Amino acid sequence: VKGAVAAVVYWAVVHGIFALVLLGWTTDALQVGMLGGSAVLFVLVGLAILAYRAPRLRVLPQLSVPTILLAFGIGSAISGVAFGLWLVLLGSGAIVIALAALANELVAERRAAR
Amino acid sequence: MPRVRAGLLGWAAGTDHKRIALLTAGTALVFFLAGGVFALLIRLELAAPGMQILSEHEYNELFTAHGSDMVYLVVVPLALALGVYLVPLQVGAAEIAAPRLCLLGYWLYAFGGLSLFGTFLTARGAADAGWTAFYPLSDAINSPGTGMDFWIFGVILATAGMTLQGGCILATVLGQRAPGMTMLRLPVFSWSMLATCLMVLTAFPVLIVAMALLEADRVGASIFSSSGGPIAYQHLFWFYGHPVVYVMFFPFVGAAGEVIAVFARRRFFGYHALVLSLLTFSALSMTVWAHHMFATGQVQNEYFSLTSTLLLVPAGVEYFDLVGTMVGGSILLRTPMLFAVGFVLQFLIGGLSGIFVASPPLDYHVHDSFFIVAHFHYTLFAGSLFALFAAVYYWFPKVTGALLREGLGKLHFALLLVGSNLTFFPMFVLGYEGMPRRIADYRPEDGFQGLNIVSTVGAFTIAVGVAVFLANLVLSLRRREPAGDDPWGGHTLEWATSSPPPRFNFTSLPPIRSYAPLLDLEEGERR
Repeated sequence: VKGAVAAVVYWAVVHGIFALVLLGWTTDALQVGMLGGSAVLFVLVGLAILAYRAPRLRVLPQLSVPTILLAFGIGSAISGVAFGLWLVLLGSGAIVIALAALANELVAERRAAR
Repeated sequence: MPRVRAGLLGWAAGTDHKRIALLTAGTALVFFLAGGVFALLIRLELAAPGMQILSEHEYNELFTAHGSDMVYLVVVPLALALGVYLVPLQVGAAEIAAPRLCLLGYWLYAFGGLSLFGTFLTARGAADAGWTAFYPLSDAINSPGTGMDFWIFGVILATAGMTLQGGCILATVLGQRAPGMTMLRLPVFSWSMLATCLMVLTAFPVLIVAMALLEADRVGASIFSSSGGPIAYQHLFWFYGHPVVYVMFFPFVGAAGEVIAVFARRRFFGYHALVLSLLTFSALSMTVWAHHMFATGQVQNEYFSLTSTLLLVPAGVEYFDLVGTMVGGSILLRTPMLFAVGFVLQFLIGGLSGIFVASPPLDYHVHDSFFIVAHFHYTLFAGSLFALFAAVYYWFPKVTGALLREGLGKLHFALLLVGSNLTFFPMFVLGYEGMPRRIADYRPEDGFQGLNIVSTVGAFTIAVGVAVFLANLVLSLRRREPAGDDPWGGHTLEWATSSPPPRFNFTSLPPIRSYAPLLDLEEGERR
């Protein structure tokens, strides 16, 4: 775990340093923010790694059809911006159904692991 | 041992990381062939002055589709597909982390690809604002119609999909390693994927935001139309657009490193230096984005020139390690090694020409010229694609249990080597002499025709090379030459399992004492 945290924190440190150096040339919030934001992001990733505990046992389903439905729903909802509201609604419906089915899959997975 | 579900649904909805990787790679191969056809049409058009086969609008559509296709739908997905397949095997994991997210990533990418290609079916035709979609070229006035909208949706979906896959690979490396597989025992390829995925997670969401804002602008939100808006768009775009070049490079450095070590019959030279250089290179690569904007006069040229030139240091370390691994080795020049050496030599041309354009005065001279086209094709095609083919020839036996034909492989390599240099080297000269990029035509008196003909001949030589590769794939799968579990004497864990690997990858793992556990075993036996 320490090695994994060190790798991402190293990244955060390099970005933090270069964001500070960039401040010597510009105070443009967009430029400094992107680089500084990346430094903050990887500090958070490091903390997440520290907090992560791997599950002891997982029983994954071989297939996950709701995942495809979710992708279809997201694609349709986004395309609906140009195609029309009907596609946004269709996509949103697919997303809701897919999320419900995925939740069901996860519950079944936990039961099987017990 | 659990059996893997067969049939179409088993492939489409399977949660096995190996299937998701093969789906991604197979889809990217189809997109690669389509992008290749676009490239041939572009080269045919440029072979002579005057408009031959395309209108100017069609030419703009084709170079936009070619660039978008190759970056968003081909090289990035192929790079990540390699990671999705190999990283769990190399770190000794039974599964990839969050396999459903990884599968969702594939389907978002596939729908994104359909959306990008679907733009050709829209009433006003496909998007024609280049793969960068610079504002205001891509606004609702200059790019009217739904073609541009679907291009934006395609980019958002494909990029979101690749971000998810990158996240899964990163989580696997960081959190699912086998007992004994410490970070400093990770194979070179897995380290290169870790660095890649750090860039993916930082840069790709910024592109998604940029595209969402661009679409909002197109439907009337006036995001980029204010003063400074076009420059803000470029900052957002290049914060993605430069690191993505390394996303399309790092996995292939790792793959070439593995191939070179195995075919030089020795341990990878300078492992720790390589690890540090990969992390430093990838972190630095996020600080150089505005060198693409030197010519705008709106960015801090000194800062971005400094950071861009600094990239030479970790890049030099990587090259030193790759060459150092070969020195003193007992080199076996099989097809994967030929492609790996080709990568090392040709990427050098792309990399060094990148150092020229990291200098603002030189960049001003060649900006928006064919010199830049030559530079990035030397990095992405003559470089990364060669290492990709090294990886394909090297790991094909692991994936399928069969060897690719060696004779056809060497013919493929020769055609690609000749073709890529014939195609892209003349572009350096053309660009230096003033031929702008993204033009459909030039005047006879410009003197560009001779080198353009050479370039077009080269492009068709590449096409023949790709045809030989496809024939090799079909032949090797139909008349299988069994490979066994480890035909090359590999160093890393994927070679410790069967070919192809079972559903959960391993039945048992060898002891892991270094980044080359199988080489440790072999050396232990010899002692």
